[in-house]
Amino acid sequence: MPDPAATTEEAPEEASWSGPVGEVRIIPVQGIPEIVRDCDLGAVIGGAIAAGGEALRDGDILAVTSKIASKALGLTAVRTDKRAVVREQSVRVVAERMTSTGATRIVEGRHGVVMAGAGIDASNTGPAETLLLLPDDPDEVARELLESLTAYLRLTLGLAPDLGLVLTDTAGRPWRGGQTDFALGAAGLRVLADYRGCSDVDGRPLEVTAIAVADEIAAAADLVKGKLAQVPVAILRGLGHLVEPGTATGARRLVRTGPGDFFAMGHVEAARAALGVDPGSQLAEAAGIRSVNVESVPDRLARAVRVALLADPRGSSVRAETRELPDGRVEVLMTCPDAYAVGRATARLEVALWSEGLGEEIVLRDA
Amino acid sequence: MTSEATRTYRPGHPLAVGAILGCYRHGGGDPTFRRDEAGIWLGRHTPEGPGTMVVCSSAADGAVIARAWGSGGDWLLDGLPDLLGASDDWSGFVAHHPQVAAAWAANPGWRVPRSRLVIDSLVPAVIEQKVTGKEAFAAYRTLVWRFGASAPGPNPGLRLAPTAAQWAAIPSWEFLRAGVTSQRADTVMRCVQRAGRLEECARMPLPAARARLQAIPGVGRWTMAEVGQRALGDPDSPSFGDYHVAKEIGWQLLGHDIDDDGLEELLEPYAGHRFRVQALLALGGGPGRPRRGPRFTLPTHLPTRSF
Repeated sequence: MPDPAATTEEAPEEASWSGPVGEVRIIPVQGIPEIVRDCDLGAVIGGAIAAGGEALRDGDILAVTSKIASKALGLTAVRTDKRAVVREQSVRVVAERMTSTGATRIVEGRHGVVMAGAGIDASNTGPAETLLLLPDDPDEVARELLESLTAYLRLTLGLAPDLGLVLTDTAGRPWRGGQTDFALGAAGLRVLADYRGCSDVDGRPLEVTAIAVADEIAAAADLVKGKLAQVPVAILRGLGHLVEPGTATGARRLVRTGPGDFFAMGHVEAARAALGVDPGSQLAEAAGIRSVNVESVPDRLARAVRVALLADPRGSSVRAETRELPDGRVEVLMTCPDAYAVGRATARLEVALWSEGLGEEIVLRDA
Repeated sequence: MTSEATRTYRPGHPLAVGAILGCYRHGGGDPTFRRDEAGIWLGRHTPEGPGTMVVCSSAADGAVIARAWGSGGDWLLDGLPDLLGASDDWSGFVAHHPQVAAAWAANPGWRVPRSRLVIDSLVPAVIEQKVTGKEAFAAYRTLVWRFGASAPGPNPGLRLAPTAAQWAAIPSWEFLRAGVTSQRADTVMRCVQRAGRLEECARMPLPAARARLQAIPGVGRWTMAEVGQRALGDPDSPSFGDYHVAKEIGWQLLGHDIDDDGLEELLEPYAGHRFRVQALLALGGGPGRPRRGPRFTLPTHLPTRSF
């Protein structure tokens, strides 16, 4: 009979840490100038830290706003057609809505992260009328930045501390108001504290708990950074147990798209996509995109009819006439010489009406 | 032709009329196929119009006697030898397995039939895609009763399947009500809307006919084979993609289940005659694969109704 206590010790390697015990300090790094293309960002950050009288130590983690990395890398686009830039920077559209300024799209960016507008930034982008893009491989950018910072510390100050670095960005979250910072890229630290296989204080096994500590670091650092204060870098001290020099795992590990994605598409978009109208497509634009504002029933109905018929191989032969009934309900009369086509189109309309949140009742009338 | 016409076919070799024509029966209640003491009744739309033919073999001299009614009656009688495999070419067929040899010896009168009626075999095959025979046969039977006509001649229970134009006019909800899901109904529609081009397959070389059938989205290797085995006299299109066939053949020849890849490999020495092997083994000889487990549960989510 094995000792039950012994089995709890056989947790995976990642689960073996015991968590922070002491105080964590978050130190804003002041005095970082406006970043220009091709500057040595590691040296700029290292210099600002030193100028502020702070010395980096083993176990310190730097949170660096991705915006300054993008500026240093010259990842800009001309601010003429933001939607075209979003399309170019994305691999997939998750959801889309019309707003007063045009279509807003939640997309999976080339970097893998799902964000509104591919994370393209139009604020604090410098005096020029430019858009700031995110790097395609943020983990690689974080790694290179950490290397250049480490090289600066070694050459100018003779220091070689083990550091972690998180490249942060700001995003909204489904089901939660407001935005928080998250880890877009990471280097030199554990991004996930995986407790799966450990036991809770009552001895019950933990099956799903894996804490995204890199995101927590990014969010915590934002408490002292902030868009308005012009503090793009913070030092977190007291999280040395998370620092892992040379780790190959970056923030990409925290991206959950693909087969494990429960929420790959918005509910409206999923219904429309089932009818062949994929979000982000020309067909979706032609059919019309749902607005964030209140829309009239006739407008929504007309859009449902377009969604039903535009992507239907037989749709061109089907006529849909809309009229308001005396009792205030609206009737769509679907007619077609081909009974098969009209039946299939009506079944499609049922689905399209659902995507517009409109109820329906189908009545068969002989021609 | 309104009255009865008669034709006698003397094949000069044993002929298993019932085994050959059985493939045209799509389920026990198929109203286009009846069997009684007069023989096997077929109600079919032909290029010359609707026809009924009843076929029976005379045990005494091996002759096959057919009677026919309707404007398509002559066309059916003219096609009798082909229907019973007169053009089926066995040259080059060698039994490489003792089980195949035994099945052949036990069924010397079987031939690959050739009805020359493509839509007639294609539509039920599409309806039979993916679902259990019970569901498919019920659906086909329902649609034939509702949308087909009475067959000409003296058999009041015999019906004709809808013509291509009649199939094309069936509303989508009637397919659904009969239990044909829209994926299959869409394929039926694509087929019947191209009926003219597809009927030409019966006069084309087999490789071109197979390709033309499979050019229709929704018609794959399995469905093409179903048509080849009935309408085109194709001796070389076994039922790849079937739920049972590979397993059955594997069981009979190797003693264990195989998949389509295994079947492809196993039948390689029979190239040119691969369906022949399938049919001979199905007709008999060795013990079949033991049945294990319950039958499939029939789906109840469709708005099917009995009429």
